[in-house]
Amino acid sequence: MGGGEIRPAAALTGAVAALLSLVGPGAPPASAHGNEVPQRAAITQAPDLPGLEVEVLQSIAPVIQLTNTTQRVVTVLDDTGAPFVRVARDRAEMNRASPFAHRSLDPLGRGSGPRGAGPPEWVVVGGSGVWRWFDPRARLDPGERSRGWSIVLEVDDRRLKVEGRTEEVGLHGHLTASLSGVTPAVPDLEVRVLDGPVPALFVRYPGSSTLGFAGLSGEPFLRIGPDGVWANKRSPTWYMSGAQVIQDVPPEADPYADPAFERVSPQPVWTWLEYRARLPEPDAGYDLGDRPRVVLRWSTPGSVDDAPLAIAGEVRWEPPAPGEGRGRGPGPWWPLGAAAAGAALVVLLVRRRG
Amino acid sequence: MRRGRRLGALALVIGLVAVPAGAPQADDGAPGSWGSPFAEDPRFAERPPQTPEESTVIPAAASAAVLPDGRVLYWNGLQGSETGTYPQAVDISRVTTPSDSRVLDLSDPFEPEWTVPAVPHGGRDDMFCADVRILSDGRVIVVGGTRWGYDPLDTKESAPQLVDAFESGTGTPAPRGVSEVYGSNATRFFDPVGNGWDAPAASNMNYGRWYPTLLTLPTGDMFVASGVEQLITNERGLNVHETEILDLSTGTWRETGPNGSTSLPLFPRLHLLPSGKVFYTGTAQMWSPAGQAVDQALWAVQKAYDPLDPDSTWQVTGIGAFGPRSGVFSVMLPLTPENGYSAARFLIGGGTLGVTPGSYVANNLTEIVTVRETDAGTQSTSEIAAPLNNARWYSSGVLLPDGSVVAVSGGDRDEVIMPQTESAVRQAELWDPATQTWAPLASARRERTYHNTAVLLADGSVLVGGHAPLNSFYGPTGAASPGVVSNNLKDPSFEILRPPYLDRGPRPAITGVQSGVAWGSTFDLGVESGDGVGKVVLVRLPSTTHVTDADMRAVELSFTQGDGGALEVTAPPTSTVAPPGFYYLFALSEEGVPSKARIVKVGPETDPTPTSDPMPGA
Repeated sequence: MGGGEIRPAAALTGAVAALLSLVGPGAPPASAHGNEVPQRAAITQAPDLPGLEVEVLQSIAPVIQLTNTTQRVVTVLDDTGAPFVRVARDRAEMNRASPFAHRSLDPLGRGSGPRGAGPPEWVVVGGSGVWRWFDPRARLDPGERSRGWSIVLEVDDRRLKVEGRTEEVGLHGHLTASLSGVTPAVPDLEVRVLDGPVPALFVRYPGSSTLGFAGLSGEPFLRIGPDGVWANKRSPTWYMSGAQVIQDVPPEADPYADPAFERVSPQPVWTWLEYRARLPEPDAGYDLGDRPRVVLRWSTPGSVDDAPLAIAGEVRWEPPAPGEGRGRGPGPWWPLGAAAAGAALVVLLVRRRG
Repeated sequence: MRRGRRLGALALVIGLVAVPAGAPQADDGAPGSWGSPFAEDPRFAERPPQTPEESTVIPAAASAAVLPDGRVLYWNGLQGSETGTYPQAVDISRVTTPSDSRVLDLSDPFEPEWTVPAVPHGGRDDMFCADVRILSDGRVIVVGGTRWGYDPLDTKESAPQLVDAFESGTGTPAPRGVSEVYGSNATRFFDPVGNGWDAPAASNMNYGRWYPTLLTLPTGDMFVASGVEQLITNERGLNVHETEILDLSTGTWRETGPNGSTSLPLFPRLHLLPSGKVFYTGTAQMWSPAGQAVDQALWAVQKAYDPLDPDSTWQVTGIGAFGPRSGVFSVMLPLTPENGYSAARFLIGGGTLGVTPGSYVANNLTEIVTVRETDAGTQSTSEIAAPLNNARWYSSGVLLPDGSVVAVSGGDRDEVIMPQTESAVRQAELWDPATQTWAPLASARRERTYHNTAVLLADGSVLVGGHAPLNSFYGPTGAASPGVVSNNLKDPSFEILRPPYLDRGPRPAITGVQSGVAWGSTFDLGVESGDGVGKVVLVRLPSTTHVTDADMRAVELSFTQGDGGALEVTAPPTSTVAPPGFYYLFALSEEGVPSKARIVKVGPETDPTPTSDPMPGA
């Protein structure tokens, strides 16, 4: 992993790497339909020292990960220039006397350590050359849209600088995938769009025809008909579609090879992740603006018997309503922060007393 | 003499309540009645804890299971979390301790007794956020749960348990610097005879699972699915897809392999169909690691899988009327002999819509899912049903022996998304299978939102307990704005709901039945009933946490009047209809009034040993 590149935590498995090969690097683990990561940090200049890697992990708040495979000790300095963590090849140590060290363990940047700095008290906190911390310098304050930041490292007598930038993620409204229609209309065909970071299609068809659907390269992907569901096991889309789970695309998968259909269900109902309806990522260059609008029209090509068939849909942008807070949190744990909870409480109190 | 009293040398009976649990209270005029709150510490029978210190005195029932002798085992959740100096989001790992357990003896509900197990909690890791079931041998099994990632700057002085666990390699994984919640892979067993916990390393699962779902298979082996290994900085970006089976004879887990893997949300609402397949109702706790899972759109669909068939894979069977739902109760309605026990129906109510945090306001929506086996496989359909009278998130749904369902406790919004902001729903509700509508019942005295529990008792009443909220998750410690929002400290008390069916007429009495009932056999059931007997029903002993009881099921039995005055009852035909284990056996009058239950073991063998009344004082 190279420094300076955003590496989403979600991208570290081969399965998800397959997904990213389609959508490109930099996709955050959260989606863009209203519960996105509200800020995104990236390293703009990494230290030039072989064996030393500094990365940003996208989590509830920016996480800095330092990996030291050198024979030297790397010391990280806080915003006052005092050391708060040091990482050797085989261990990580933290300075218990450093208030910043305690803050670095907390996504909210508070921490429960000493109020004043004293002489360093180093304690071993990890048994490897990898350490992560929530660095308050890389986190936006409320109302802040972007900031540049730097972290100073000491290696022997040499000082190295890690520079980065954190931007507010632009999406604060809602992106929703929906179905526009099926052309031509097919009696008994039920299609639903299921919302998510990658939307899914649910298709149930108890009719007498055979429906075919194309994969991401236009290859035969799926057949649904009276004898159940058949999948082309040579279609790369099949492995990414989450039929049971998202899988690595095996070497033998080839969209241009002759299809090899196998029955995967005896009944005509199936669901799959539809990457063509995937919601735009915050950094994908979309200017979503302040008005509701369609930001993406998508189509899943297919066939009904030998005639063309298309499931069409759109992704619609709904900006935040007036007064709606910006920057909704990423998830159910630690998502909103004290300010949001306090604001909600005030609203509740006003409502009950009103 | 009951077992809990015999074990005085091993365990400590630490309290009696001041207020009889069964004393009916004046209510708000709605049907049903509630007993007075009662608690191990009499103070909390009078009022809930009012300070963080009081809140940690005794455990709340965040998880509960009825033992084969009728006693209730329960344990705490988020134990000690309210004692931190800072908001829980910062301090929770530091101050939380392994959940303590208790055994509650309600053989005389007017004189409940508590026993502290000889080993008070489930060994390493925290049983909080684990799932629980009753094994067919009578032990309680608890799998998964929480390994709190701790502040690595803690010392032996400030957090000796955590540091010892880390240094010994048995506890929290090596810290990597940031706050974290890990899934435990521990399997714990509670032995009701010895009143103690054991967590053998040989029974560790292959995956750490925080928020898994566990259910009993027709063989008596256990099936586990989902959970997450690491919640905050999840490197998979996914929940645990792999499923596992515990071989009860060896006490070890094996993976089901790629065919058994699937993407499921946390605490997926799973049930065992009468075909022997595991069914996912499309409902769960719809969270995901680090905010969202890449594949979470797939959680909306219902699907089925046969873990005992190596060729089986998870098959999509249908989709819910409202799409994915979070924080619901999902109750399997009674299986009946009329249709050969072939049709399964599920009542799903409340919660929030969509994948959290898609919405956090509770709803009152109800749907009924019907699952059928066809020549083409398993099919499910979902129909919108009459709504609840209250929007209710995280309510417990309890199946009663007459086929009705009570909903109790819960809140009006999802507390996990916005801690402290929910208001409790104290009014109980009753779903009538004849009208398929919900009727309001009397309201509980206490507010029980997050981590509440409710279990059916042998006398046909419902024991309601728990409440272990995310106290002041983002704000100062202590109860925030008491009286405005729900009680943000734990409530270790219980209340007993007396459903209206107990007041419909004379109550039948079971005079005798054998202890063990073999599948497909017939057995005698002695019943005294002035109003005749309308139904004989088995109800699986309850075991619940996070408003989930995957084993909850009722099996109605056919019967005839025997020569000697006893009923001749036909046992469930197969282990797929009634998986091996312990069940309440109720006889209901023609008016639907249930007898007190006897507890019988259903399995491959008959046991003629007579049963006794597990609640003689009721």
